[in-house]
Amino acid sequence: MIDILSFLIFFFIVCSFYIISSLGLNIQYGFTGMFNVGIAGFFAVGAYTSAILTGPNYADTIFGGFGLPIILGWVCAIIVSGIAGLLVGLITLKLREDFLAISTFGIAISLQLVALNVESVTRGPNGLYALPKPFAHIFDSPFVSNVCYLIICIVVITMIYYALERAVRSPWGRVLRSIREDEVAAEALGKNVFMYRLQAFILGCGIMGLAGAMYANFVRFISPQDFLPIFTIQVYVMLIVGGKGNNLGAIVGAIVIWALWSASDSLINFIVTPDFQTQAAALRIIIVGMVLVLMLVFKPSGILPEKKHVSG
Amino acid sequence: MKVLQSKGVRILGAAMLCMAASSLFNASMAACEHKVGAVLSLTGAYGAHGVPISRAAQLGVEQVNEARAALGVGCELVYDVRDSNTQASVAVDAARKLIDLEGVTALVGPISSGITAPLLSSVTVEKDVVVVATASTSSTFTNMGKRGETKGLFFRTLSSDSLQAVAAAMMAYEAGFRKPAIIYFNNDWGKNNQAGFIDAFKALGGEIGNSVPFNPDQPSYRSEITKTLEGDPDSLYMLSNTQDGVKHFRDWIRFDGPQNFIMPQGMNDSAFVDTVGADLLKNAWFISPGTPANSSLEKMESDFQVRWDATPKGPGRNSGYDAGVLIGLAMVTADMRGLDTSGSTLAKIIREITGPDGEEHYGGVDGLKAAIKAIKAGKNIWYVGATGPIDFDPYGDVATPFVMMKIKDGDYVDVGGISLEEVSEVKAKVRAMNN
Repeated sequence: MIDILSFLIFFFIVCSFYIISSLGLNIQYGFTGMFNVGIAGFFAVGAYTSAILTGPNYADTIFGGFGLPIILGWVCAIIVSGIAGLLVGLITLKLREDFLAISTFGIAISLQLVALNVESVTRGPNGLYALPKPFAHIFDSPFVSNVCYLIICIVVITMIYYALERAVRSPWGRVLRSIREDEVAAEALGKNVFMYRLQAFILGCGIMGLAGAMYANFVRFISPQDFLPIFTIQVYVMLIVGGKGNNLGAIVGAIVIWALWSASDSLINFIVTPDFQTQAAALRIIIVGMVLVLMLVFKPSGILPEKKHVSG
Repeated sequence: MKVLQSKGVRILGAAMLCMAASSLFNASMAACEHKVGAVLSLTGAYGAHGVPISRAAQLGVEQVNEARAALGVGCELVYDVRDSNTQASVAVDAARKLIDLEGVTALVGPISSGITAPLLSSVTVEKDVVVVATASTSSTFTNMGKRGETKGLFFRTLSSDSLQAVAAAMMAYEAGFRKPAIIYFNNDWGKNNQAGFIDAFKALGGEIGNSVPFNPDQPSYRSEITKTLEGDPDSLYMLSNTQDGVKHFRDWIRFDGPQNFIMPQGMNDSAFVDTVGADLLKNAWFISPGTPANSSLEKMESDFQVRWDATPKGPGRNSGYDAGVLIGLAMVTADMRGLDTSGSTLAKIIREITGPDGEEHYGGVDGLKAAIKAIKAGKNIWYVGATGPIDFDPYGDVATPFVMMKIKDGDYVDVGGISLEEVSEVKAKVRAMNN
């Protein structure tokens, strides 16, 4: 029983990184309609920021290894990815829909390639290792330190959730939704559409950066391989299945898809004989893909569709 | 609580139940059974490599099991592989499932170093699980070992980049090449390997042409190949994967590059030879860990062919097989001695059954039977696997000799070996040159 519990704790910790990213995407895509396909890039900025600030000193880097407290690493991760969001937003947010998607996709790939090649800071493909994990030095038992980490995740998710709920219910959130529904109308009402889009973009990127930082300090190793476009696609599937424009939907979607991702593999190995396990692995991708397609056909607004808000 | 009634929560609940049910069912089966887990890239960027590596590891475990059953010792060994999707978050989740829900204490490790490292640092070391990696060659693991991060629970059956690169340079020099150009995969393996190769080749007295990185899955590599051709190199060291390697090869031939090639272990794949054609590979030199005329390798290759009806020639087959055998042998040994099969016990036994102070034993069912008998008789053994005689250093790094191969009539033939002593000599030269 303790094993199952210990696995579930680990499962929900990993899930948290997706939940937080999904919440960050929701403010950009779900509420404002900005098609940011660069999630992995901002996640990477956060992860590297925290890793460089909190990580140990390596013999072969010229910058980093400051060994700062983890909480400081996370705050800086939010700030730095927010700044990255600002810079990216300034140059791309005048673009619409698919043009924004293509440019953010390109920027995320470029960020990944920068991480791969600036070896004196990121150690390139060799990655940053032995990163500190909160509570790991206080409690000997990995079980207890994981419980603590899960509590941190729950606290962070709750804080982000309530902050976003307040934000989207406020007049500010109403402007975001009006931009999503009809940009011209919002502009005609005297709203500075670009500024609102930029603010939502920065907020979302900061949240994604925090997810990256939390990932880095939990997994304790990051390399550019962790920030490939597959991550972005996973988060999109989560948000769409969960229900874009609904923060609870973003959370539920992340849990459902990650559970499906994880359970499908146990299920496949349970059904298939060992001789075919290697081939059957591809079934997982098919299962997740099918769920997305079925969802889009039968319930395009997601598990928890957006509620009609009256902003006060 | 509307949330509790929502479909999402129900789906989630069903998924969790499935997982729990499957683990309970498994636990209630055979009384005496050890699971050998594996987390490998079966899909994603390294999917094409992962499938045969997994099959080789499975063959290793099955053969130990057959040998064990014939002698009537130890518990049933079962192989269970999970897909890492070549993604760290998926890999750590898969490993936790194997460890927590299936009770696995030893894993055949992922392929890519970028996946193996998170697995060690967030899952296996703290859960006291031993990992035998099959193709992770990054120096990061040696550094992690030196920092005490791996607690002796990490081994790899493929030697690190630094060793492979030196061997490749020695082979190139022996082949008579004096100014090779390099094209390398822009990842840890490619970068470290080309750096090691350049140092070693210069220490041997040769010159290096351009060394050009490439990113995978591009439609064409003309600009990269054009760069490698600058300065009239006499050969090409191809640190590619097999898919992109075909494109590099094609462009190199098209631009009239000399038909002299140096191939690392990753290119040692009969699919590649079939695709580009053996007649263009007349002066291609391949390096692989192992010794010439190694009986374990020959046995493994013929058994692999029979077991899977697929070609045994290709990267990672030999190291995957040895990983499976080592874990299997360690489990049987623990059973025979009445020990537990925790990761640290297995790690200790893996050290015991390798290293030059024992009696030599080989792969294949008969060889493994003899090995188990010798262990039962209390003898110290040295497993000489498909990658050659295995000897781990304190950080789990393996040092195996190398074998050089060429293509004759569409088949690989051994043309000589490089011993560890020879590699160390060149390494000493490199150190002298750098100081």
